[in-house]
Amino acid sequence: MNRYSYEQISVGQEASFTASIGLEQMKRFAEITGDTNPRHTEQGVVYGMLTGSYLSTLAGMYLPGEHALIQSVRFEFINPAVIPDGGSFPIVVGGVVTAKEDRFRLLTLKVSVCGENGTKFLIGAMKVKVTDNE
Amino acid sequence: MNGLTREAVFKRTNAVFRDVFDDESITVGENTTANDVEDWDSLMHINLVLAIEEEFGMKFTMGEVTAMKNVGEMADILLERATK
Repeated sequence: MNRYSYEQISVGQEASFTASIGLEQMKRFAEITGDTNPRHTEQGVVYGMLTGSYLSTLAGMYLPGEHALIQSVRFEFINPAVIPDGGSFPIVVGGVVTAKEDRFRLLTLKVSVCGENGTKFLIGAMKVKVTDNE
Repeated sequence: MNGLTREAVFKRTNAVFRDVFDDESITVGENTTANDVEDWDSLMHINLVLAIEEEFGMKFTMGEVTAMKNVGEMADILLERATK
């Protein structure tokens, strides 16, 4: 886990990580949320909110890490992701700091979740407060 | 001079409050404080300040953000520095 302070972060700073989405993650997401719509459970269309949930990891583990407090997240689904037969597929979750609001120690991150070939599943923006001084 | 009246500032400020807090029943007055609005905590304060700044085309200073005691004091600053 990263532990950046607000001062250690600069505009343009980036972070990314890879994760794997497969049937196990889909099943657990359905259990947690109660969304058992057959589009997901039978046709294998990945829950958009499952891919979006990795933005929590981006802020809480990478940028800024330990001192993250997510203020808001806005994102749009660009392309659907479908689980390949019986398998899983990798995603790349990334963000770049586009603005810093010193008065509130607030970062604005441009974020995306992509497939390994660069297909964008979602794009958006996230505001994250850095609470290292609290 | 931005030509704004205090009444106009309050009308637009009230609309921002209703939007930020998603509550059409809010009516802010001179003495309204965070204690008077449900959900007005430190995180919502950031959203509120940023939304007010966007609405009025100005920026509060760090000192103003922490020193403003009520909506009336916010309106004082907006009357002085709003650009739209």
